[in-house]
Amino acid sequence: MSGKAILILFAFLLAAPSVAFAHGGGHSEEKSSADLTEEVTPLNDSIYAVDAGEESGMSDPSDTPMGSLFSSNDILGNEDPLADMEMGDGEPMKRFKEKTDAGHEQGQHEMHKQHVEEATHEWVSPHAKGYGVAVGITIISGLVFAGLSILRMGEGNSNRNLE
Amino acid sequence: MSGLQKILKERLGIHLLDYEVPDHSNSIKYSLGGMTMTSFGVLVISGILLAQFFNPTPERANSSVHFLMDQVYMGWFLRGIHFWAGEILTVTLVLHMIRVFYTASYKKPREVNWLIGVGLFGLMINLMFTGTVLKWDQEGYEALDHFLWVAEKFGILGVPLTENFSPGIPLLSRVYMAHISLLPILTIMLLGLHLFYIKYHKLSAKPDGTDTGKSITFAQHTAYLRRAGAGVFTFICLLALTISPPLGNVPIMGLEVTKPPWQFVWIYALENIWVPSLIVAPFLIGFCLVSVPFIDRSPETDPKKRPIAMLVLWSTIILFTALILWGKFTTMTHSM
Repeated sequence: MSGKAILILFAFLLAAPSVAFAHGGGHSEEKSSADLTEEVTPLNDSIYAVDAGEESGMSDPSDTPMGSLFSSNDILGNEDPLADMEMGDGEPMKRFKEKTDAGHEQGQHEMHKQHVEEATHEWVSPHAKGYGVAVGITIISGLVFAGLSILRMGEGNSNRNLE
Repeated sequence: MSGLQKILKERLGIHLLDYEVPDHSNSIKYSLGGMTMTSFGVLVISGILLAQFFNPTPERANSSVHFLMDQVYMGWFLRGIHFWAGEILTVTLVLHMIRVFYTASYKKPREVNWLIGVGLFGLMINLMFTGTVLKWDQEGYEALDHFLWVAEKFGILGVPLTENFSPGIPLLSRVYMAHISLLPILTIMLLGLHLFYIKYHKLSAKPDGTDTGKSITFAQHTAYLRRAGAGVFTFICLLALTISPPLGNVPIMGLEVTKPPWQFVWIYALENIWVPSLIVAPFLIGFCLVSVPFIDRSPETDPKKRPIAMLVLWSTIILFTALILWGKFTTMTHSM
């Protein structure tokens, strides 16, 4: 059986050489920012493009009487809290275009590395909204666990012999 | 038995939980699966609540998570619970798989349940991956970028996983659909099957023949799992209360500057050696896991009498630990 498994494994590896070696197989030198941006250009065509609907000929839902129901605007006229939030330089797509339009200078990659702040774990501030309630939930949960551990409700000792 | 108990027993069929299981069921080793289920339950409930505040469009996703963290009452705690439940689930799931392998519980007649477990493992990885993408910061963007690179290499087969499949629909929205709908539904279905086969084949005996032969009822085992679940939830709450999950700002496209979460960092290390590892490694690991019950067919379950299996197990643990550590401390030397 192990022989068969090895054969299947070989078949899998042989069937995928074009995939496996598509990248040349091994370290490649770090590319310049110009190469990098050119390679990723197709990526931005649709995933991040909010205007993709217009390009594909789809009508703008806000033009229709019921359009607002499908938009992120509140139909009751309330302000959209997310609209005012810090979004960097606007849409990712727009920023990306600006970056490529600005030229492909050397060292651009390093420049953006400095721009991207590394997301790390942070200590929770005791001033966070609802911190006291969160502490309460944690304490109650801990007490339930402690209670169950002491009382062992339902766990019982009534072992029965299987044989 | 009180009248109420009798009514409940008759109407709800609770007496069906009175079947016998070995007494070693009530131990941490044999309750790791139950603990994983607790974390999954916490993930489902917190996920439903999180979904009320998440905007799955590329231009709003990241800011909606920031809004949740900063402006929504206890939003930070909710997201913390969701995040840490995922972390705990990873640990208990891997430990559960190690226990099953160590005790040879995948052997006849439980091969099918091992395969279902491998399927659940794959689904959990996909859930973690899609969850990483959804926060739509630099880390999330780069994760999706890598995924698209892999999908492209599969040609026509990979098209359904790319934006070309449904032009005009942001891929992030489809990732969201997978995360909150498709993957959880599949997980719950497989989980049901997994539990059914545990009941059908019964919990495996101790591998070294030290079974006492005594049993407890399944209801007693669920009482133990309830206590373990309360412990797991308390631990999740404590972590959520003290350490906030990472969250960056909107991504800058075309850059590859972050490292993936620790669950995926081993593949980052492999990618650093050989880029196509991104494609080969997941399939190879999946293939090896699926092969386990078909390669190791001897009835022997005692770890001391299974030196090759133990060698494979410890080598795998050491290899992945080394890759995770290396991935954490190494610097990327290539760009895709």
